[in-house]
Amino acid sequence: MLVLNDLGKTYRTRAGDVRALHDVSLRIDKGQFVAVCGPSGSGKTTLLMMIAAMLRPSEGTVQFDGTDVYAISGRERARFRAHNIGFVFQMFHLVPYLNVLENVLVARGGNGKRDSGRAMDLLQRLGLQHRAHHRPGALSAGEKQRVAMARALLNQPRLILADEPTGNLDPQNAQSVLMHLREFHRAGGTVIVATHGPGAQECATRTIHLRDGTIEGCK
Amino acid sequence: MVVIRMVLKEMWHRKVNWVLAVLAVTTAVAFSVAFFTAAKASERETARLMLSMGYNVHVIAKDADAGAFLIHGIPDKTMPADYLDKLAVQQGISYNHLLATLEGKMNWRGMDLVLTGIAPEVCPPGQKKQPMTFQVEPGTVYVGYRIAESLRVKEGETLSVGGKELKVKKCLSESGGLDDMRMQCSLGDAQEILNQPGRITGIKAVDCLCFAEGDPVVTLRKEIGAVLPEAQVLQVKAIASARAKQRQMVHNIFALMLPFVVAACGVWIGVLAAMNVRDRQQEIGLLRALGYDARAICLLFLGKAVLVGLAGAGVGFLLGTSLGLTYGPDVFEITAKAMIRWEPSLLAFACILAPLFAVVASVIPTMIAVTYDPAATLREE
Repeated sequence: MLVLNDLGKTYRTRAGDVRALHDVSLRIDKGQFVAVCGPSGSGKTTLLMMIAAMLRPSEGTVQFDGTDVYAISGRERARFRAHNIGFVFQMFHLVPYLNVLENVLVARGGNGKRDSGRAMDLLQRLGLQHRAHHRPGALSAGEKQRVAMARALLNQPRLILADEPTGNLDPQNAQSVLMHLREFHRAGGTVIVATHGPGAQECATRTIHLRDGTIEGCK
Repeated sequence: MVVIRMVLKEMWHRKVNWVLAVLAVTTAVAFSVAFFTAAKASERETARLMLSMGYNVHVIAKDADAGAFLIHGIPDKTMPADYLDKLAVQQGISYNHLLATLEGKMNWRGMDLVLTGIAPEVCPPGQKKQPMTFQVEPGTVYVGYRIAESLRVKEGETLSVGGKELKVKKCLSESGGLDDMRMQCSLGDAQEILNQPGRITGIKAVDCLCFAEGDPVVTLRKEIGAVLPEAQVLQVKAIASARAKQRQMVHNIFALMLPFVVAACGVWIGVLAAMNVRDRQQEIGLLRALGYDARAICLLFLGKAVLVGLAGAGVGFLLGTSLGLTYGPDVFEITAKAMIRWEPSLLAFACILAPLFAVVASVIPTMIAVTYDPAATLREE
C-alpha cells in the first residue's frame, strides 16, 4: 500500500541546514497498525507529514498504491488526502468557530444530509452526540480528541495518520482514543501512529524506532 | 462544509476583525459618496445658474466691431450661416445650446427697431437639451413690448415687414431691455427682409463651465477658434463663473484627498486581513491537510473580503449620502438645496467597487495564507 524509498528531508534554516530525516525506506501493507516511536526531534512528525503528502521530501519518493504522491499536481494531492487519509493531531486542531458537528463535517467539504447523518452516527459511537452543537472551547481535551477522531473517520479513509494522539490526554481518554484507532484497524484500515508512549505500541502490529532521523530498528 | 458558511461563521466568531474591516470600507465609500453627491449637485447648480442667465457666449464675425456690439447689442458685420453647422458637428466641446441669429436695425412704421431672425436651436452631438428660447416658425413674428404698445400691434394680425407678410404669434411682455424693441422672426424670413441671404450676425451659446481646467473663455476661444478661424468669441463673465471656479477648487481638493483616504483604508483592510491570516494559520494548515486546495483557501479569505466590501458599500453609501446632503451644500456652496439629492447610481457603483477594493486589499494576505506550509503550522504546539 505504502512504499517509502530512501526518504530524506533537510530543513534549510538561517543557522544552517537541519537534516531531519534520511535514508528511510519502508513498506507498509494494508491493514497494518504501525507505531513510529522515538524521542523528540527524531523525525516522527516529519515522516508522518511526508507520508501525508504535505511535506515534499528532499530525497526519495513516497508511493501510495504505486503512485508517487509528489509527482502529481497540488490539486490532485489535495484530493488524494481528502479521499485516502484521516488525521489525528496531538493539538486536536479543531476549528474554533464551528460546532462539533461542523468540525466533523469540515473533513468532507460538503454539507449534505447524508454527511450529517454519518457525522452524527460517528459522534454517537464516540459518545459525543450530546455535544454536537457545542463549540470546541466548551469541550474537554478528551472530547476534543474524540471530535478529531470522528473527523478523521468521516471520509472512511484507508489510512489514519495520528501524531501523538494521546499526548495531551489523561490515561482514560488516551485509552478511549486508542480503542477507536484499534476499531478502525480491525475494520481493515491502516494506522500509523507517531508516539513515544507505551499505549500505542501495545496496539501496534509493527513498531518502527527512529533516532536522529533514521530508522534504528523495526519490530 | 460549504465554504461560504465557514466564512459567515468565522466573521461572527471574530466580530472585532470584520467590524473594523467594514469600518475601513465604510470610510472609503462614505467619503467617496459624500464627495460625488455634493460634486454632482454642484455641477447641476452651475448648469442651472448658467441657464438662468441665458446665453453667455457670443460668436460674431472676426471683423465685427466688438466695442460697438457691446454698446448696441447688435454685431455690425455678418458671417456665413454655415458656421453654425460647423460648430454643431464638433464632438466633446464645452458649450451647448447653439443659436444662430441675424440681427439688423430697420425702420418700420416710423419706428426704429431691431429685427432678429432666429434659427432653430441646435445642440452639439450627443447632447439632448430642451431649447432655451422659443422656436419661431417661418411666416410668424414675435413683437417686443414697446413696439406692440406704440404701434398698437395685436396678436393674430398680419404685418407687412420689409415686403414680407408675417403673422403676429405673440406680443411679448415687458423686459426692460433691448428685447422690448425687437421683432423676432425665423432666420429665413429675416435674411429675406434684411437682404442677407445665407448670412448670420452671430451665434449664441451657453458655456457649460464643466469644471474645465483654467479660464473657461480661453478654452472656449481655443475650441471655437480651431473650428471657426473667421470668428471671434465674447463671453459674458458672471458670478456663476466665479462660483464655478470656487467649486472647482473645492472639487480639486477633494479629488486630491480621495486617493489618500482610499489608499489609507486599503492599507487598513490589508493589515486586518493579514492579522486574520496570522490568527488562522493552524486552521489553514488543517484545511490543507483535509484536502482543501489553494482555491478553497482563497475563497475563504476573498469571500470574506467580498462580504466586508458589500457591507461597507451599504453602510458607506447611507453614511456618505447623509453627510453629502447635510454638509455638501456648505462645502461646495450650493445655494439651491433642491440641487442636491441622493444618487442611486452611486449605490450601484459602491456595490461593485467596494467588494473589489476589499478583495484587492486582501490579495497579499490571502496569497500568504495559500502559501503557508501546512506541515509547519500543524507541527507547532
